[in-house]
Amino acid sequence: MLVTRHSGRIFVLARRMLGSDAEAEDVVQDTFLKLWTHAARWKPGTAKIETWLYRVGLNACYDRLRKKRPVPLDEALELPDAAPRPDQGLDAPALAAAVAAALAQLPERQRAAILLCHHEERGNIEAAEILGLSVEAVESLLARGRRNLKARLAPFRDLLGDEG
Amino acid sequence: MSEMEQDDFPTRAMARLEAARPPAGMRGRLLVAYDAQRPLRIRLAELLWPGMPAWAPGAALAASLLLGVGVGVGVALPGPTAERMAFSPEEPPSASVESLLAEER
Repeated sequence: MLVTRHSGRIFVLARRMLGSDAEAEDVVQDTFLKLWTHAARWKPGTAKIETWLYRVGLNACYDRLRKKRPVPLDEALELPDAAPRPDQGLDAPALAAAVAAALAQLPERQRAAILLCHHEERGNIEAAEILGLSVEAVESLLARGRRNLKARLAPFRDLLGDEG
Repeated sequence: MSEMEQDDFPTRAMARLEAARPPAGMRGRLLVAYDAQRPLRIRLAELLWPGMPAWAPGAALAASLLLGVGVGVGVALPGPTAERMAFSPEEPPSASVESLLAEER
């Protein structure tokens, strides 16, 4: 069944995009509601259903990210940094938090491209279909995303096994 | 650093993320949402005849209604009996006295 096969993956992607279980579940529900209401108009052969679900899920994530009110600057300055400092003696959960924080700081499209290609292990062509972009545009997003991620995780490079 | 190594870094970083698992009951809630969004007509059809396409219960209902009406009309209106046919005053006699006598012989 579609729900059993795909809901978990859409949830994980939305969770990584939004950083919240509750919001990710809402995204999954929005995605499947769209599928059910559009099922009658589904044209076989237009796109893989999984690709379509990812695309709808990602668009729902973008909508939520845009609706989130920006934090006022004075409040933002008082917020404690979620990411641990490299000198804190990192265990696995702390390193995971550092990676999650670095990911969350990426622009949303770069984050989506990185997640699709490096987390969900989708190819560039499928990622391009999901993101509604050309393959070249996805490659460019990926290159910027990788560079950004690397820069943000520079203090943890050794822990992440990067020699460069 | 080679392009390959550079490409591998985000994959290694993503592998360090904590596992994200769908909350317990998410699938159940999805199925409830699925039921809620379906039109009443389809839900009723599913209730009457589970597993069949929505037109099947409707078609069965229509066929049984037609059959019921047909039978009902047949029972309510008295059909022409043999006697009525033989002695109907409105109809001209189908046999003459001569032909009946000839049959007797």
